[in-house]
Amino acid sequence: MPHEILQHIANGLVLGSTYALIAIGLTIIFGVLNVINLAHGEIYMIGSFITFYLVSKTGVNYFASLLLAIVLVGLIGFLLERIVFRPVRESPLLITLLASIGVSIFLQSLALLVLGPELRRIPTQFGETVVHFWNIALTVQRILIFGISVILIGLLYLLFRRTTIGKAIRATAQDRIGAALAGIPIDRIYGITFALASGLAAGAGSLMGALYFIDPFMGFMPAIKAFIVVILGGMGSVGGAILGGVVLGMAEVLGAAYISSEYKDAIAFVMLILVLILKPTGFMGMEEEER
Amino acid sequence: MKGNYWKLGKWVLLLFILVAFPYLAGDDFFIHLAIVIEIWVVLVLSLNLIVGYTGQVSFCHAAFYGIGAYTSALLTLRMGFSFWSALPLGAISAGFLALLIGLPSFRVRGAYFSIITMAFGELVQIIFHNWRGLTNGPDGLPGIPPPPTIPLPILSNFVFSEKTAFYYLSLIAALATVLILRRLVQSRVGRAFVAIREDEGYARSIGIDPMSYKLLSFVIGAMFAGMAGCLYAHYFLYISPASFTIFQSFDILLMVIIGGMGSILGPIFGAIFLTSMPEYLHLANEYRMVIYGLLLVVVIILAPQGLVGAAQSIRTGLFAGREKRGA
Amino acid sequence: MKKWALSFGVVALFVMLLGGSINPFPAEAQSKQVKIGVLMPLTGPLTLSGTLTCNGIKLAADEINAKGGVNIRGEKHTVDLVIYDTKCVPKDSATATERLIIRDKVPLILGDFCSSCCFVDAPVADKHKTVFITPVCAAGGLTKQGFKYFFRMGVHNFSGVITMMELLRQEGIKKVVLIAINDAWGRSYTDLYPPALKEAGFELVGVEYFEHGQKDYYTLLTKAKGMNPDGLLVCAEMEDFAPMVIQAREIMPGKKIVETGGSDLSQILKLVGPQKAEGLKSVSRMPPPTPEIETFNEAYRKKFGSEAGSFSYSGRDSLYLAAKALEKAGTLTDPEAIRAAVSNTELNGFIGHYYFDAKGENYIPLGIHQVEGGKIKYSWIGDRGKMEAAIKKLIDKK
Repeated sequence: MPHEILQHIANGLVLGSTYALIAIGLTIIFGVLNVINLAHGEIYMIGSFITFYLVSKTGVNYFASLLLAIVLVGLIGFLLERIVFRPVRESPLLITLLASIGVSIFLQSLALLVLGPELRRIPTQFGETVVHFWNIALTVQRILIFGISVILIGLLYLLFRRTTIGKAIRATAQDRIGAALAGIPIDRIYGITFALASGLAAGAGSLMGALYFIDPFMGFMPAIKAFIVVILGGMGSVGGAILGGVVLGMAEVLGAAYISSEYKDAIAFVMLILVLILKPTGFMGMEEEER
Repeated sequence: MKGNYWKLGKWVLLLFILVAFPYLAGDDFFIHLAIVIEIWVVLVLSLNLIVGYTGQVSFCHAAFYGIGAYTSALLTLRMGFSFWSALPLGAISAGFLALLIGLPSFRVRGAYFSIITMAFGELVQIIFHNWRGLTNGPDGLPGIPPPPTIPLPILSNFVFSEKTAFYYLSLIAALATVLILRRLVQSRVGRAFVAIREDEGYARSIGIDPMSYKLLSFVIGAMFAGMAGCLYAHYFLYISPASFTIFQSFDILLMVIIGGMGSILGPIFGAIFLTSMPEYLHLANEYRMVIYGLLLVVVIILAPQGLVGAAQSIRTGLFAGREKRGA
Repeated sequence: MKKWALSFGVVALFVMLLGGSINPFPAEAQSKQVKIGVLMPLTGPLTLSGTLTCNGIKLAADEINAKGGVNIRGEKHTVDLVIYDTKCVPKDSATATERLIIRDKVPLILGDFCSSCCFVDAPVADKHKTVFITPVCAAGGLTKQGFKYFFRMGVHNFSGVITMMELLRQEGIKKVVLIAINDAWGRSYTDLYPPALKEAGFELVGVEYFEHGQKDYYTLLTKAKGMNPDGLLVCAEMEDFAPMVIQAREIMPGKKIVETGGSDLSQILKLVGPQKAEGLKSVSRMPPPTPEIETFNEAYRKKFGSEAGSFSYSGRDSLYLAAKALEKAGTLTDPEAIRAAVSNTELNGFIGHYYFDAKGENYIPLGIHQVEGGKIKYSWIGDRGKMEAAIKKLIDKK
């Protein structure tokens, strides 16, 4: 078994990178809009379906479809913010949380209605070739997932550090009123943040959709895991989301491998409970104000 | 003066309808539906205490409901307890679970609290599913005995495998829940709950310890849910982990919201509405969930107080007015 | 004032409920119609399987009606299906059962798909003396509860086990890792296989579980690889088996994989492609194709725009058996007669030869199918008479 550990670690990294991608979106929505978006899993799902249709029905190349899906879903996210979350912006957290549950149920059932329950998979050629090194076997698709996740995260980093929009977003996250006073268009920033987060989720969905099968319910579990990651890492912290994603991915894989595969899902929940008890603000969160 | 008589008369009429229902109803199916509604009324009211009055959004309610069901099922199936002693034990076990979950969970607030309850809910379900020695795992527990027959001298015996008898049992449970919880929310304790919901800092400043009151509402809510679980187990005569998932928790929460939080009547309405609507909407089956989702979003945006609250825009408890009238 | 309106609203709601019950829906039953209740998950996570089964029943109803319907004492009755979506939620399934029996007054019910629902439905059916046939449910305990009106047409798990022993022998697999889905169905196999394997002289080196919809089996498969088996014995449904096969081919290329009958290899072949599916063998709920089955498949394709699966055949078989039994009973209103008729009816269905024992159980042995040269090959394996006896022995022992 020891010589399998490298494979497990590789698996954990791939898994962790997708968790991170989804979690980053969630955490920036929280950090900037103070919204807990329980519909994030469905956004992930829609991303994968869009890519699926583009690739299989219109023959667009996989990477182009990925980009298109990110953009399209980004737009959907922008609209969602405008239609659903803006009206309840001043309401307590509970209300926005419940509104997002409504969106989640709506999107999921709509997808089932329109798309049907059949199994589909985004057809790519990358699933065929397996790369072997150091006693690890990884398909090109898995390497792509890790690689593209890293690229997307890197792009996000550049956005936040180098561009005006990115700085505006960070300013809004830190101090909404101050940012508004400084002349930053808060409304538009909210919409852009939501769009960004949704785009990332769509990216994750498109990557995973080539690896796994897609169905209208695929977003539920990843969303829950992403939530756990966000809390582990600290709500509002992008770095925390990345770290948390990797930690959770590894913990799940190693736990399932060496402890028990039945109680595998329990590991994530136990970690969550422990973190919430010991350091509620997460690995990289800071003590913050009233929620 | 006449107004008072009319008010009283209205309640008498309602009571009459409720009691006579099994004999007025056209067939057994409606009695079955009524039983399900009554059990759900208990569930929804119990969650409303936690969510609507104390303002703590809990996603693990199905776990309490499940523990109550499993406790009473196991006690009656495996250890020969009678239903009447198993029922309170089921409620107590749910309360105990609430204590276990609440103590760590209430150390954090708001969204964090909600998510931690989600995690606990999932954990409990995983345990139901995997601890096969105790719960029989996914195979569930078949053959749960209905409550033992009560012989009545004049009327025919109360045979609980018959729907009518069970209808009265759950009616009593539902009415008891309404009356007890109504009492509770009108008391000092109830007002403390609302104070915590509105502004925790302020509550603390006037001497209310948020932690203890939150725990109290959590435990009480759980106990009623546990009782509902016992009723469920001994009516359907079979339970399995499939009935106590996070989706069930969402369902109950949905009823609380759409009906209206923070009142007694709202959740009752929510329970009745969402349980019976599918029966009338059978044609629109595939669209049902789409409609629910849409309904939820619309209600939240336009009427955060729920459908009932929207009809009545007073936010402080429904029965507060009655007190003054000395009814 | 508003409060008053509110309380009135609640009373009104109750009266509505009442009203619905006092003024029943317009009298339905036109003469010469037999209503059959159908309970299936048509939305929710088991939509695919539920829809497959339900479509099979629907198509069978069309076929029967095209041939004139069900003949009850000389009178032809058209089959009218009353279908309710139970979403595999036990409470909803029980409510639907009550509704079918009390409001719709069906003489017979086909369903449900999930064992957890069947467990709550069966007592209801028994109380009202309505025959309840499940085309698919596999939980062993269902026929042990003494439900007089409950019949199981779903192929028993034990059948898969006995057939699998033959298959393992044929493949020369000695060391086995058992990989099963962590639900009632999968668990029943992890209960049954270890002693059966031991008795038959195989070596079980590990047991691993996965959750429905898990999608990522890398860890599990890596762990299995470390145990060095000759083959993987998998208990999974198509949604899980397909991705698992793909990943297993990545981690353990060339390793023998046998599946216990939860997946239909023709669907797997379509989902993962001939290269990855090559060499897969499984206990087959799908029978070797006959002209009759081909006709059914064609009609299914035309009517629903998708492919039939073994669940569709199970659904189809259940309606045909129900129709045959009702004809034999010669009545739609005598519950005892209907029950007795069902109990004594045999059917050569698509899946196999059905007959029930005193507890409503069946003993259909299964064959196997495999992917060879990019095509599915069906075959019977072993001595079917002996297998039936072995299945019966296993069932009675439990």
